[in-house]
Amino acid sequence: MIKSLSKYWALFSISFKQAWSRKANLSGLLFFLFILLFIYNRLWEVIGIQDNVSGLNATFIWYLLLAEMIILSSPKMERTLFDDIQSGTMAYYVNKPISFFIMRYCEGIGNMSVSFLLMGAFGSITTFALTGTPPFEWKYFPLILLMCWISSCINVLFYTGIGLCALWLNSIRTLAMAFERLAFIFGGAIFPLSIYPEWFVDIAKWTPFYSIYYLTIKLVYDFSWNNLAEAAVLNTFWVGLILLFITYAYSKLKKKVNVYGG
Amino acid sequence: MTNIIEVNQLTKKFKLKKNNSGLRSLFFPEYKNITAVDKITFNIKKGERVAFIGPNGAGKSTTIKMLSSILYPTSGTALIKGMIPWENRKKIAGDIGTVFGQRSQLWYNLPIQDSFALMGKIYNMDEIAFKRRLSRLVNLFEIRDLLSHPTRSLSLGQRMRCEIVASLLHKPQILFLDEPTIGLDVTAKEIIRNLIKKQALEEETTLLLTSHDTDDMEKVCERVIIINKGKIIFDDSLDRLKQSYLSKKYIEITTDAGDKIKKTVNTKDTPVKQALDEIVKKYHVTDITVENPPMEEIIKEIYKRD
Repeated sequence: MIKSLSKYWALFSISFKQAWSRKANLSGLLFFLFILLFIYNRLWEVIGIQDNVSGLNATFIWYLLLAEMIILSSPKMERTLFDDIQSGTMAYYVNKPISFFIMRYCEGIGNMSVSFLLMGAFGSITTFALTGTPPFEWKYFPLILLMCWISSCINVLFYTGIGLCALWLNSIRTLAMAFERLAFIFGGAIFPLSIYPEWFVDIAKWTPFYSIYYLTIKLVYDFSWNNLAEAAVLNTFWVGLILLFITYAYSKLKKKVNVYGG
Repeated sequence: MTNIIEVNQLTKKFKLKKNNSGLRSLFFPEYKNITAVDKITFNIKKGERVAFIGPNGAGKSTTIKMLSSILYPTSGTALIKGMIPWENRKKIAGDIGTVFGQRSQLWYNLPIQDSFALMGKIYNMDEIAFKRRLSRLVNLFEIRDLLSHPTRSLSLGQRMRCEIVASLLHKPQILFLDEPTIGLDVTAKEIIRNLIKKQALEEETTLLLTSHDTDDMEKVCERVIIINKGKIIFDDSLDRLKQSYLSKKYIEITTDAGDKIKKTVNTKDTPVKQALDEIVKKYHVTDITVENPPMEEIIKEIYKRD
């Protein structure tokens, strides 16, 4: 068991190290994040002044930062898995004492964690500088970040699951795009769901995006142990469901694997 | 000696979609079956070095992929150390090593030493045993200078040496090599062949090597299985094959006037050395190559005699 964990930890570490060395990529990501935070901060400042509500921008910009950390840190796992399956690369790993799926997932998490940590550090400083007093108590901030990192891991898991659909589909672009758009809409990735009509929130509650994104990110302006527990329980449920699908698809895939050419 | 690989009536068919145009094919797609491997049977003893050769599309890679547990067969059985490979992927993983000339098992962007370290972890190798083993293989395959280079920066020959080291790290008893010399120049091919043979002899590793290059089998193996259109058409010792079908050598000379002259020598009547001496005396030679007959010719000859 420990040996098994150590091989996946090694994959995570190597991928983390590699992602860390891609300085240009990371700089581009942080630049984009800065522009996003800056523009939305101006937007919420104007809305706040018009509606005479103070601190509106702080609430929404911290919310936006965490949402973007989850979304932007995801390393396009669906494309990696799709290519691995379609090109037959995956086949060459099935005879090694490692789960190809977990291997790729650990690499994905390693990649994601670097972007997540950097955006967390840079984004927090920027957001603090732009908005002033945050809408949460600092002592809860590490816990909120941890919950968001777990959500990012779940997000990567979903995209990896989408990649596995290469078993049945010739292209997964549409599926990945639909997932991304639905996450934006039902997960409240730009604006919190609390500003949407109630009937819309009722629909969103039936989707995984509600807990992975909204409930988790909401902790930044509405932290309570109850909210945290609700997010954790619902996330566990969705992880269980996606794992069931992944286990089924992966077992099918291992049997159906074809290697063309050569 | 006991059989380490047993193959019985092994068959693999691929179902391919016919590429018909029109609406009909959208709703009622038609498929055709392609038999890549057709009821082949053979056994390999522990420590044997076997060449599995044939022209492109003969079914050699498909066979090796079934034996190394990558592909499920359509019918028939195979046993690796008494276990069905595709049903015991994880159990036999430590006993087999695979090298695929057209694929890399090394991490593209990682330095070679990191790829090796990951391989050691994947095979649950003990740290001390890993270091000792790596040091031995690094010396044997002369790759110490390459360890800090990422895979992407290596030449094909260098990469292949590293691939073989990666597949030998966990000390497998059986090594499957699928076209390990494909795309390499003559010198690199020679180095790879020598290293594979040296290593196999030192550790008594069972080798199953596929190639469409007859020189690979001559330099590395002691037994030859020839496969064509999915069926085994020859299974005997290399000596027998040489006596029966590899007695011809093709010599190509380039003279200092730039002319290219081709000669065929039957080694049963004239040894290659004697033939070369005569050529050198007769022409002003600037370049000379000696080649075995191509695979297609050997196969044609086998069919003719049968």
